[in-house]
Amino acid sequence: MLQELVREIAATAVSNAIRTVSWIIPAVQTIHILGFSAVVAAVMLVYLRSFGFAMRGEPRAAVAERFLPVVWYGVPLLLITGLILVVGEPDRELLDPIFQLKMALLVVALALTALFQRPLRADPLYWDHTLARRAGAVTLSAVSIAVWIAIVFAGRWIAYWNVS
Amino acid sequence: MQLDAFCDWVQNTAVGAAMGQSAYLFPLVESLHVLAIAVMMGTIAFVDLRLMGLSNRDLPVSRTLREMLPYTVGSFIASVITGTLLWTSHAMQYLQTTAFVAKMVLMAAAGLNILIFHGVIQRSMSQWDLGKVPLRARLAGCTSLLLWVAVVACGRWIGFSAAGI
Repeated sequence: MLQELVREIAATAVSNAIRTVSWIIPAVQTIHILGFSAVVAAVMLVYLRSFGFAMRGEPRAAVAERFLPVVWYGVPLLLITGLILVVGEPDRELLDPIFQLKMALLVVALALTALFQRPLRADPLYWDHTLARRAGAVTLSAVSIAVWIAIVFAGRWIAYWNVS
Repeated sequence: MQLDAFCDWVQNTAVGAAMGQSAYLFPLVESLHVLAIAVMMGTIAFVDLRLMGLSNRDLPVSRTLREMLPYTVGSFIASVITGTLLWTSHAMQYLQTTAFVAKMVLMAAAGLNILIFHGVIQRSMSQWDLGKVPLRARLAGCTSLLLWVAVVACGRWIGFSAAGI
């Protein structure tokens, strides 16, 4: 089924144009890189705050409010630029297990971001009340950073996994 | 030519040979390079957008610089180390690639902009730490952002145009 979808996408005029106009893919990839740079730096600052490495002296909720919108505005941009790359080279992306892993990791990363951010809206000190909550925030932060790094790595490895 | 000999030597060192021949070393170092660039580019953008008055206007410029700079500097060093390792794999071919040379020139220009900002413009920062940022500082932020975006673009173009790699 996926194979059929790949064939159908690849046969469209849009897909053909993205593939054959030589500057489109590097240009879209450049925008994609700029977009995830903003997202990666934002999540890094928010989560390193949990370890006392960044934005010390500013409350956790304030840091989240300052930088997490970058994630929620940035990810749609990344989905659009990513979609253009998928339409251009559907076989390279959709059939690649690394690409599939990357998408799964993205869902996990966004779920963790929401899990971290939501309680702060109702209670800015939610992650600070008890030792267990503080430990929870530290764990969530460490896992989140690892997942975002894995997403960046997976993105680059798509280029190497099944070079057809 | 001496440059030829030097590049030849670089490619034939243990590091250069490993980077050029190993199937997984290049992608691994490249992934680290991209990760370092992401942190660097993101923190630079936050500073530049703050200088241009487009984001985090409630955060003093001095505080923004203090928060971002350690990450910018750290990730820049990581980018240079990983980038140099990538270069050793095909030293001469990269030097013959227009996008690679353009990237180096643009980085030098961005470096000059940084020197001008920290050496001259930043001196009066206490006067506009929270208020209206003067035009020269906004221009420095805008110039920085444009130059680094161009650096990233050239970096991506290397992968599509490097001669004979």
